Amino acid sequence: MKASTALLFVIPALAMILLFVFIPLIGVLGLSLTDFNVYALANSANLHFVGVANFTHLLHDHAAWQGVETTMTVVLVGVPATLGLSLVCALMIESIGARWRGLFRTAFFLPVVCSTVAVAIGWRYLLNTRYGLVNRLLAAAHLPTPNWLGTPGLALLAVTVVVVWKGFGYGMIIVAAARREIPDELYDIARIEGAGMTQQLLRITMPMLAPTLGLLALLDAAGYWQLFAEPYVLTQGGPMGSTMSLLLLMYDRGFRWWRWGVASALAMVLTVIMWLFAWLQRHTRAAWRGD
Amino acid sequence: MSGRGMVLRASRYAVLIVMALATLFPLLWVTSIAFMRSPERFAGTPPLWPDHPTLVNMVNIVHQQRIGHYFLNSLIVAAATTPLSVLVAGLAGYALAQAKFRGHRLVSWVVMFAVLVPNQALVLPLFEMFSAVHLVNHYAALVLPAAANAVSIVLIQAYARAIPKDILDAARIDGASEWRTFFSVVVPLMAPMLAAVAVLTFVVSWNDFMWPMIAMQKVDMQTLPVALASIDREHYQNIGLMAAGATVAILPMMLVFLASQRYYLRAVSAGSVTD
Amino acid sequence: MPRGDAPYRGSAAHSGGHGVSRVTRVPVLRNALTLAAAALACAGCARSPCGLNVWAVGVEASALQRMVPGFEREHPGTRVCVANLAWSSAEARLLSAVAAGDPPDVAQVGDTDLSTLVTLHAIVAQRPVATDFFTEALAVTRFHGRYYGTPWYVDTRVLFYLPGILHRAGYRRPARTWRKWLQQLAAVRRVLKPGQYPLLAPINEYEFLEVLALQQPVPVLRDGDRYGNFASPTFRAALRFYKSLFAQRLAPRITDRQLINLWWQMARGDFVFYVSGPWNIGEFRRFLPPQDQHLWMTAPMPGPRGPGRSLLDGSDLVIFRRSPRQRMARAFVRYMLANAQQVRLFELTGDLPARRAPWILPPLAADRKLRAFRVQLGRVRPFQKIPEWGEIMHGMRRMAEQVVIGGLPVDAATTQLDRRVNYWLAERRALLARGDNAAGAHAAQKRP
Repeated sequence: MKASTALLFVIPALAMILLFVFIPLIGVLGLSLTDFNVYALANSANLHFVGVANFTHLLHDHAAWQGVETTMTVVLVGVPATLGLSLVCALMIESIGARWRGLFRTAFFLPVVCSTVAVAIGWRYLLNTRYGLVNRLLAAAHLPTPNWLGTPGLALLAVTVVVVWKGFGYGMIIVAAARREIPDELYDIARIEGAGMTQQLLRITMPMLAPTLGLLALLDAAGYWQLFAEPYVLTQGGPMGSTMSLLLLMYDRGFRWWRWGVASALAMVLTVIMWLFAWLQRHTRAAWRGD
Repeated sequence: MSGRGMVLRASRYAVLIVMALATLFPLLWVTSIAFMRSPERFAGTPPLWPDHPTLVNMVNIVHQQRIGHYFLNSLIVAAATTPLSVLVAGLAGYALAQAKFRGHRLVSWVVMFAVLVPNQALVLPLFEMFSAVHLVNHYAALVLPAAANAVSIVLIQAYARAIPKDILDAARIDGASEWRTFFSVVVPLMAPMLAAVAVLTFVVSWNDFMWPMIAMQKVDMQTLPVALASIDREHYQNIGLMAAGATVAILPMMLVFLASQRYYLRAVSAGSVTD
Repeated sequence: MPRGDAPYRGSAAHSGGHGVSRVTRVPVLRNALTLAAAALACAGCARSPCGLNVWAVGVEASALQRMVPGFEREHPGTRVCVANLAWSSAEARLLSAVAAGDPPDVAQVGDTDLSTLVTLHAIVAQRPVATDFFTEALAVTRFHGRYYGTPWYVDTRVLFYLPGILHRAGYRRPARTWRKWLQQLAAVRRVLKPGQYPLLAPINEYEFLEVLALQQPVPVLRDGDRYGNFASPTFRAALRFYKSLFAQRLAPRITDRQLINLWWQMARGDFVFYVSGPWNIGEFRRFLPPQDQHLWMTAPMPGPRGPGRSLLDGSDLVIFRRSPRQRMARAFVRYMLANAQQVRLFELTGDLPARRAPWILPPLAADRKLRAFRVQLGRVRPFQKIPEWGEIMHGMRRMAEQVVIGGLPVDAATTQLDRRVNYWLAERRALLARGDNAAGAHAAQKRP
């Protein structure tokens, strides 16, 4: 392939990435250093360069810290939970007859393809305090019936549950595919050497799946950091801002109150946090592999 | 087979069935409520199954709330985004996999970097850009940014590496131009992956929420999830109506998924080999 | 609560005639095809075929849609397109549309959002189309000595309550002072079943607390709306009263989103009191069967010491500067403010006419449940007309949530809120110091 043609092939993609990823990214950085707000919208003379003032403001902003904490909680709880469920489901599906595999795979995968907004509406009715089915069942079992979406910790838990429920099917498919790549001979040898099921799982399956799980963790985390639609529909960020994710906060500040400076600073914070985590994950994985 | 093995097997199925039902329950229940007449009258908790199935909620959501209109918007956007995105990513992925050229490293780096940028954090300047060129409230505002999909490029690049060089060389010796080679040889070879990426792109576009909400201020231009969220804000107390809306959003995707399962699953699992 | 639209309006709309379906249905298909073609050809060259674009919100949009045919008959050849926005996102949508340079011709704008549009120079001043507007309502639209927007309907908050349960608790009518009202609520709780509450005050609505704050003599902003004044003893008293309602478990700590169906739940006695606006008259009538209509009633707000004031809100019809159809837009606004349309709006939505004349016409004059509103409208107080008001009110709500759920002490909470409000008002102070008109002109106006 000629170099010039290859460039021609690459240019549309490159142009689009530059236009819709790089330039906006620089734009976010630029905006985050200004006081762009409703007055600046009325008259551009009211737009000023303010340096890192927006960031120092965020440092003292309880809501921003809460946003970081909320989003990070969903990532730190949601990602392992998703991975665990993906792994368990994948291994169980791979261990049953091929005839039923497709059925279960479809069942676990359907939430992934469904519109978040639509399923969140369903979950909100399930979780209703007085009339929701969840609390009806709890009441029937003589268990306490909590105010799911009205209590800070529980609301975040509910959001996380919905996120995990919606996401684990994706990982299940990937893990199942990776599990099929593991040669059967490895297990045969292990059996001959007298290794039990647990031994096989710990000595063969898990190490062989480790890279896939690492990649999945990265993908899931990238999605969960951008949590938005679930709390938007389920709780609007409440109660007490306990489900106000960073993006929800950014949307609120930016498109509700038109404080683009602060909102862009929040977007930068999110971006940098995501990079840090991606770097951290890469590093730890590299360290593992280096052993 | 030993008795213990049988028990193990049966319990495996039992666990799987319970989990599958638990997973599907919210979806099935919402669909079921959509066909109940005033579900709130059941002392608050709608039953599992409509006692007298009715289409009244469906009629309301379609007729009064014009859900079909928003459905069409979503469909247009997804249908425009998918081929564009696949073409752009296909060309780039193939070139990156099969050609050496100056700047190859730089381009690869740009793509990898783009994968790591949270695209939803970019909506503020994106909105400014599209406002400046008066494309807010146009389908282009949703189609163009979605077409710049770095993940698709990475997926296709990984797949295209496996294309044997001699097939391409044979086509070239026959005098085919690079474009012809691409469309008549490469595309058929990459068809499974391209189809898989297409389904992925379609689903992501169909479910996208934040950017469409920002980019489409005109009610007539709203996509389905945005319209649904907005109807929800007014009518959340009308369970039947909202369930019908959710069903309209969920059911077609279920069908698309069931029809394209083979490609879709392949696309997703392709993610595992790109490491 | 964000206004709920009427879910079962369907039957009425269908029997309402072919006008509605002609306006809404056929264009859907045509628009869709045009747009589809445009999307394929040039990705977005679609042009609206409407003669006048009107954006309205929620139930009012549905009502407008049904009043439009009359206007179209008077102006042959003009097709009016009414877009329906959601209350919660209406302001964001309007602002984005203005920012994008693509606003509609006419829009229904909530009083709270009016000052933002004036600040943005997005709307034009209009001469009042009538002389009998409620004074406070017209004053809300006044900026720099000119009237931006025409009051369309007014709204205030009163008590919705269940007389039957109140009687069972031993009272003939709702109390007029906070102290007596607390006693009433406590008495009501004794006759309720577990899980039921005397009062519904959703923690994601700020209007109830806003009313309590407005009932106090000292405003929540000071120095020409340059600084927050929430730490004033009077606001703290209001917040303490608000907090006690939850602390004594007279009201549940829930958001409106946790209701299944407010009207149906109230009829069952889940809540006995609810502070809300006129649109709920219509919603109660729509949702409850005729034999249950006697279950609910309205009454004016109790105050700290005797009959209390309430907030004045409402919507205005504004005309955008960018609109190329100014004459048609003005004609549309005039049409909608005529007696017949004001009454029709009330019939369709329960919205209260912004002009006095329609109030003496039959449907309004005869309505017993409107009486509380007529009384309350004589005791209203508008809010501060600054673009930041909405943000400040939401800040207040979040702070109240911290107090009610998080147990944050009232004094600390109000001090914190003042700090936050002062930050939000920083830009405004800077502009005022520079003598900028955008923020300045209406700052000097004294509140009554």
